[in-house]
Amino acid sequence: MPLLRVVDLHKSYGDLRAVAGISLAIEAGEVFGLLGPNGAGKSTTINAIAGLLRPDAGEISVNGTPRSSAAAYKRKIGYVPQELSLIDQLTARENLLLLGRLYDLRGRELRRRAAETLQTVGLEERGDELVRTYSGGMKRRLNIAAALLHCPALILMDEPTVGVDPQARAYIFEVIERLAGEGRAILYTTHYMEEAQRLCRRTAIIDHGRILACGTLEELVAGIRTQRQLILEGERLTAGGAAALAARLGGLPWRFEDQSIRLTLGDTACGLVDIVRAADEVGLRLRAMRLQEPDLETVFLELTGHALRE
Amino acid sequence: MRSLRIIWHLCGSNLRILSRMRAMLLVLFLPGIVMYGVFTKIFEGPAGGLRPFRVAIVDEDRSEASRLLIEALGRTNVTPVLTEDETPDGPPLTVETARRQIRRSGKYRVALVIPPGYGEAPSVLAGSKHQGLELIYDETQPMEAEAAAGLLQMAAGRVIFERMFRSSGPGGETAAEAGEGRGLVRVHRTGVSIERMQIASKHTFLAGIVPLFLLFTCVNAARGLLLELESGGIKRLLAAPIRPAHILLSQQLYAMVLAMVQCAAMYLFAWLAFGVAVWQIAGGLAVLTLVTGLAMTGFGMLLASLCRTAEQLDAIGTTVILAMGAVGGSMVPRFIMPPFMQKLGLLTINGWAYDGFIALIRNEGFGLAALLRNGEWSGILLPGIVLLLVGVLSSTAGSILLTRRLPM
Repeated sequence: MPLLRVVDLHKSYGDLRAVAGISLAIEAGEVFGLLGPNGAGKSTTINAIAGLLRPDAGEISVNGTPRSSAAAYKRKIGYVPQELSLIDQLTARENLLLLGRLYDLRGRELRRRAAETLQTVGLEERGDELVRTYSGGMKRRLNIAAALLHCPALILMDEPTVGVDPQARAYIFEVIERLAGEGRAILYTTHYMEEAQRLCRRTAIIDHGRILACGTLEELVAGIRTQRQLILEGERLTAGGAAALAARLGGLPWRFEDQSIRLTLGDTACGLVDIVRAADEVGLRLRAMRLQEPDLETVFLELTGHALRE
Repeated sequence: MRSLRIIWHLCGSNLRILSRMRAMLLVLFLPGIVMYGVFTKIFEGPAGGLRPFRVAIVDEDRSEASRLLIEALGRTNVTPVLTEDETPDGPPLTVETARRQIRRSGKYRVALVIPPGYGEAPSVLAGSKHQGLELIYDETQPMEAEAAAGLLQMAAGRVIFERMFRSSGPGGETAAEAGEGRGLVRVHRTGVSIERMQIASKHTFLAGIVPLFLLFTCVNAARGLLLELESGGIKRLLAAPIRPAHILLSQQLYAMVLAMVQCAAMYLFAWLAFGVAVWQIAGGLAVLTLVTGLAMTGFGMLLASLCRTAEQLDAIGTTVILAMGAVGGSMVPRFIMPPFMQKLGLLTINGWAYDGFIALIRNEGFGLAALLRNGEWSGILLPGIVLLLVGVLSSTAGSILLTRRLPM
């Protein structure tokens, strides 16, 4: 049985259909990505799962506990909001103790969990300092820690790396991978392709409140028409030169854009040496070659017809 | 039980945050104390000077002599008040009415009683046996009584002078006749121990300033909720197994605790600096403070629920608080306001809190016994009930409106 099960989720705000029939299933130990542009319905979906808004229709359950059993359901979920919802005037430990009490943790057990959680996110040494003295990256880590204190089975992360530097981002990735290794299920929303590609075993591409595709990266790529491309850069390249080259290579599909030639390789038997030799024969003076494998961005572009950050 | 624990935890964390905001703590306690101290110092003590002042006239003699005396008095710095409703055709003042007004309302602080028989033999110079005139005055304002007595003699002298002047013409009197008939007067003074004792200073400003600053505190506490909503911080709390009511109630409890501490600090200062007898009325004061705090927190919550942003609340809140303060006696004592403004003041929380406090100072207590015995509303009973109702209704309305805005 999946740890998180969402079936046919619907939510509208007036005439605007924010979520229109989303279904998901996430297993324990899995990092599942929800990828989409702003306004695609990611936050509405995650808020509905977190119990922060009431869906118009659909079923949600975590480990078999339905959303309607509010208290029991919420205890199984850790929510990392996009905003830094921390209290600056309290220390990191005091922030955690406050949240822990809301989950009925008390006394020695609460203090132990707070210490462990601070250690998990690498803040144990600065746990007794006021949050207002923290850097942006440290606050992001504490923002995640606050969702882990009560040991939830499912962790919802709503763009948890917004505005952090690469070093802090790498640390957060490590934490997420460690949590997944412990068997927690993680639903991760982002509009950074590289994050989803790096962290998520499976990804759902969402736009206009619908899931357009869902699966592993390989499955997603296999489902699109776009194939790997070879991009050739050189001096004084022309469309005519590109056509001549493609003809010499047996009629490979080609495009000429941004002063470079894009050859779609597909299942061609041509090797790189053949391509370099053919270019030389048609008089093209190449300076660089780049192989572009289809990635999530390619998938997204093909599925939605627009780039992710448009 | 769990709900109470959660509400207390949330409220406790707010208090802890506040304890670390030193500037905020200063803003919370200092302005009220300073304003109260300064106002009380400015207005305490004798009125001073010979400003025009109102003197109630109880003319029981209704003779030509008394009419002339009143007329002459009106030509001095005195504004005579002759009727109960202060209209020309209103019912004439009685001694009892005049005493009661001096004791309670402070509409005037001196009353002149002209007893029957004055017109027949008013002159001291002529060895009159008449009991003389009576000046009833507010004991806390002896200078005003002194001034009134002086002006009264001046008026009496003026009457004699005019009679003498007229005597030089046809139908005039001789100096002897004038002196014999309407000469200088004998005046007895009776001090009245007033119920609105020192209302003009330490009590009235405590009664007015405490609600004003409570309102600032409670609106500011409710502002925190709007900030949480704007920042999204409230989402994290609601993702935990708690209800929106826990958050709203914790916010109200926080505001109540602040309000109570703020009141305690003000009362303590009033006791230490000005000797306000807070301990003698401690029971009633505690109840009144509690219901006032409840009304203020509810009102703060309602106001916050009607504003979209914290900035909007700042602007609207300050305007509303200052307007309520002005009308409700926080800036100008209610008893010196015209009757219409006094009635208008009862549309404000400040006005009811003010009246409740003054009732306590008058030793009216809770007022339950008087209601049961005579069917009279007195003490803090009516203000208490009104404040309680305002608190419950505004809290409920504010909570309903705010709950609709919470993510859930």
